[in-house]
Amino acid sequence: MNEPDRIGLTPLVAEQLDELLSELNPNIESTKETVKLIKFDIYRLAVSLGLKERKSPPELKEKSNSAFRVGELDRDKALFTVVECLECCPNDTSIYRYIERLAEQGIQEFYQEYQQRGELPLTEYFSDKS
Amino acid sequence: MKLKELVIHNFMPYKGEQTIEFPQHETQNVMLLFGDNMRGKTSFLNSIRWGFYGVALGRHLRLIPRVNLVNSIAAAEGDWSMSIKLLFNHEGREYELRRIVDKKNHVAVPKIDSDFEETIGLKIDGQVIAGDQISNEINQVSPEEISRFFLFDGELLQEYENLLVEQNEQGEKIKEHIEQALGVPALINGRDEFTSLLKDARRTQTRDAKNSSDAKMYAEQQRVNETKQLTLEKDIKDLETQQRDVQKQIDDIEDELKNTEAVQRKKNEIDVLIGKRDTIEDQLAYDADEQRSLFQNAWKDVLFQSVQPLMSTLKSKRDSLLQAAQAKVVLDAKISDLQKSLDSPFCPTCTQPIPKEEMDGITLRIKELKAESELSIVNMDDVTSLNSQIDKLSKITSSNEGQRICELAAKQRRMQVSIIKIETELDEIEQEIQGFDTDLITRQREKKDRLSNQLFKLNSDIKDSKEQLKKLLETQAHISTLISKSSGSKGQASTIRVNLYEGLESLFKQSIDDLRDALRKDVANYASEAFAELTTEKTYSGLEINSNYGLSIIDQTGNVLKERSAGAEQIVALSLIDGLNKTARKTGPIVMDTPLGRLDPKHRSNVLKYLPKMADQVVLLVHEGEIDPTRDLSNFAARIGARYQIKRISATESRIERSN
Repeated sequence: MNEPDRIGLTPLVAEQLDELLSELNPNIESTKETVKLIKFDIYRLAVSLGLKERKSPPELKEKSNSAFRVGELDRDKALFTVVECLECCPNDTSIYRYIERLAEQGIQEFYQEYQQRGELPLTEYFSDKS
Repeated sequence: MKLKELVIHNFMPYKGEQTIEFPQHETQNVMLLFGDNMRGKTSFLNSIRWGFYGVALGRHLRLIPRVNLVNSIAAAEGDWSMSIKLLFNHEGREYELRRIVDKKNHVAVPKIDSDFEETIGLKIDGQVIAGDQISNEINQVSPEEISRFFLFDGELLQEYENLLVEQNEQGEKIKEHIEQALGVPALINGRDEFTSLLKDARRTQTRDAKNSSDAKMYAEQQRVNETKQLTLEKDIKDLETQQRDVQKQIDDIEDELKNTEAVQRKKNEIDVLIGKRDTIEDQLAYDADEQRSLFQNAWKDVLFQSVQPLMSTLKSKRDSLLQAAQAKVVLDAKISDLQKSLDSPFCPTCTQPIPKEEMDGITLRIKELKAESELSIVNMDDVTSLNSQIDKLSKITSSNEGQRICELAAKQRRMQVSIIKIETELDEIEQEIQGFDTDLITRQREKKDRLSNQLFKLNSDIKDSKEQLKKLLETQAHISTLISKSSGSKGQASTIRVNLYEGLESLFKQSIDDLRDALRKDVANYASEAFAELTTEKTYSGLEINSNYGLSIIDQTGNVLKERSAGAEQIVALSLIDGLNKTARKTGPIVMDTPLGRLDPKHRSNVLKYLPKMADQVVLLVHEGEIDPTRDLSNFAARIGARYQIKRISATESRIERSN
């Protein structure tokens, strides 16, 4: 199966990711340097949580915006390897397309949670180590 | 004089009629009136003062206008009448003093003192005293000048510390009051009278000297000095007017600041809370930063959790493959050994041929082993692939980012709760001080500082001008002597008068000094006696009085104690009051408002034991912070003749009730 060079999100979820980033990053101009999250950080976390929970993400409803270069997103191919080893990717789907689906589903869930609670349920994401 | 009964009607917070009976017993001579702050203790003191003298004093001894004396609820109901009835006895005679004010008939709502009409009545042993005699009769019993020392506001004790500071304006004022009470003004007035007469006599002498050839030059000098004197006197008068004006402005600001003390305290609380909130907010921002930093690698931590079981599976698979490969090697070695037996069917030890049955067994065994070996064939590419996967997955590491993020989230929640609590508190405080301009308070403080500097400069200018005037007067006296000695002026009426007035003025000056010295000595003796009983530090040898009636503590080495605590100041001030009171009059009651404010328990105990001895009758107006009814009263329970409590009805109404 041929792996794509670029993956991304549907336009709607890409917008949701932008919104989420602006919420999670400090919104005031600070004189001192602050740590800022980038899109990759959220994207990778969405994929990791999807894998941890063994999700079966559906196909993307719209065409992906292919915003991210796979080589940059998964520099040491950690995500690829885990998907490969877990053998959770459907046969007719390339691994990175599967990763794209996981990200799309995960970011959507992040966004909905944030809309409902005003914060991400971090304890739920990280405390369950099973 | 002994107070018997006080009947208050519509006076300040005391609406309607309220009667208080004073203790008459010789040893049970203390009356206690308990009341929280703002309930009417000082108003009670003022009711007695107003009953006797028709004046009620506020802070800085300012007169309280009548309109503020009438109970505001009664006034709002249209009743502007107010009265005080005092029953007392003095030297075996019974007195009934009644002072009443009411608004004048034609005035709808009174605004100033003259909108009220005051009537006063006095009966002695049932005999009505004529109106013009009443004031005189009261002064016979209890002169108004001394009232400061027996109708005493404890909050003013601090003012007595100013007596120790030379050239202090407030100290000078208090000294004036003290001397007025002690009777010094009689001599001061006499001296001033002769100073004035001497001035006139010298003017006449100078005029006469103009016609004398040998005194003409002195007359001219005297004329110039007189002009200088007038200018200096005018300057001093102007400076003193300015001084009073500036002092009044400072007093007004102090009053204003005193009223806003609670607001200032609240403002400080706000500043502290804002500081706390800012610190927490800084910590929150710092933690949020750390949390985001952890968040960047949190995906690896999550992935690490998924990878762990997978790694175990892969490693186990790889180990199985390697075990199988190892087993195949062993089987192949066995097959090879057996095959050698088939290829050479002789025993290697005895070289005898191996029997056929045994050879058949070996063949069968080789078959079995080959079958087993075939099952153990391992594709080493699979092992390589598993190793590669294991290597890649091993690179996924975790630093427990998720757990740390959770810990930070919990910490954040706690801090956010703290911020909410602080903000609720801030809202409550801001609501409490709503309407107060806290910036104005700061500006007023700055203004007060500026005025204090101005006052200091004025005081210094007045001092310089007075010094110049003193020197000028000495020069004038000297020139006057020269004129008197000149041949043309000797024996003249104006010279005789100058000499006479000089002598009399000098006599009065000396008398004032003598009287002051004698009085100061008395005050110092009485005060030292009181101090010895009041102080807890028994090594102090006594008190020393200065020219202003200020008292210093003398330690065991005979030196003046430099630093005094607030409690010591209060003890010294109480001793001074006792000394002044005993010097000024022989008998009479003492009414003290909040006299124990700054004292520690031991001093308080000493003062409570001593107070009953200060006068025939002692009325203490105290709050429960000063005298704890359960603890402190045991010290002088036997001396309490009556106990009252001021009960709050509303913010503008209180009632005095007798308690047990």
